[in-house]
Amino acid sequence: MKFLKTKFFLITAIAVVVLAVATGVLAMIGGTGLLRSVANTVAKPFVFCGSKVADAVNGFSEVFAEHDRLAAENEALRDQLESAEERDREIELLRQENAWLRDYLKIAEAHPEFTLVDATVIARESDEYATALTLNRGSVHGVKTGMSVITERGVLGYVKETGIDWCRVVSIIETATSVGAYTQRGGAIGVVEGDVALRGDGRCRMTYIEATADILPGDAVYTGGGSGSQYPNGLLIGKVIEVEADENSRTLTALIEPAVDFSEVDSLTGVMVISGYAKEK
Amino acid sequence: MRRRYRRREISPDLIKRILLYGFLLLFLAAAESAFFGRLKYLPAVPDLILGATVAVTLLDSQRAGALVGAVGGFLSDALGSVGLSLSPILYLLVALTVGSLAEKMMGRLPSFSLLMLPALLFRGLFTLGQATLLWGYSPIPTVLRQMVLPEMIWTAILCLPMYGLVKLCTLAFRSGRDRALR
Repeated sequence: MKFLKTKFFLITAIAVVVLAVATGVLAMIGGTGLLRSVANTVAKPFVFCGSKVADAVNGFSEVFAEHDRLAAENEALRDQLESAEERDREIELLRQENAWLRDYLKIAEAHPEFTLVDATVIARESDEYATALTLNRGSVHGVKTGMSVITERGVLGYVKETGIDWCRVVSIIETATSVGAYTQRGGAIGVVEGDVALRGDGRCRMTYIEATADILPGDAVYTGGGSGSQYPNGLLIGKVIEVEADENSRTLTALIEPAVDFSEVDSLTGVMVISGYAKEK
Repeated sequence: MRRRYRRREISPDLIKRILLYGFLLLFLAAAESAFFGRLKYLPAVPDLILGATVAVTLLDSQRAGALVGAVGGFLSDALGSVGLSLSPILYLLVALTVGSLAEKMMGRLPSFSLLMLPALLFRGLFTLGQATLLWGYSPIPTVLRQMVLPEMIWTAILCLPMYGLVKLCTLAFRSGRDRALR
């Protein structure tokens, strides 16, 4: 406490208070005191060195800080890239789906009486020509045994077996199938059925054609429909490749190349099941 | 009878002290404003002048500590702030408080660490007062958490070397507290 009463302390305290007030007043009027200017000038080399060292330390520490930031940014960009690739894949799938839906739209417009259920091929028989396919639609989707299955090109086959959410389709070239058919040009009538010998080539035949029928190679063959037929009328089966006479029955037999290429059925993804149509009387 | 005034001689020790403490204060004030003030990843700027004031008061004398504090405070404000220069008042108070407590202590590092506690308290209160009354920051708990406490913590950590620096300075001249107490 003695120190408080010393001359030294009193002078120092007064000097400090005067300096504080003076700097404050000068700051308010926008000026700088002489002592403050001198202090800044004298300390300038120290300030310069200090700032340079600080910049060096900041630069060094930024390497570590930047590493974390760059690692986080890298991770975020990877996620964005994965999302973008996922989006591209989805877009490609949608594009493909859009393409075959457009094709089916033509069928739907040509046959407004049809009720169509879209389906995807999820399994196939491992054979030279896969003619039995499994689809991802079943009874819950309105699919029943006996319904026709088509692609954008033409008739694929019919539903042989139905599960809750799957069904099995037998193709038109199977020996177990037969369907009444006609040619568009000449109106020749016959029965398209599978043949063991022709199945391996992905073909079938049209039989019971009248000997006098007007049928030539290149003629388009369509389903005949009618009561008892599994297929509705007017679905494209394929085209005539060859016509030959059956000596025994005095009828003609035509070799049919289906519109659906069964050698490329591996690449088949989307098909349509005709779940309903107005039957001909 | 007329009083005779004897002209005081300026001793070499005094010159050494002025030069050494002056250089130390310039260095510390520049380090505060130009180095620590510019470091990006340091949460708060430590008050090195505070540590120097306490060390000089402990290792030299209360008078020397008061002068160092006043000049150091002025330098620190001249380089790092605008407006009122109130830091000299703070350091003067610190020197007074520490000086009274240090009279009974030896000039050792544990004593220095102990004396830093009231000094840090003064510093915290000063910063709180400046932030809330002068600059208008609020609320007080946020000011304490984001300004006052980080400054006190970093000052406590980085002022420990001040003891060593001032000790080196006092070795260069004869009048030191330890020598005076012998």
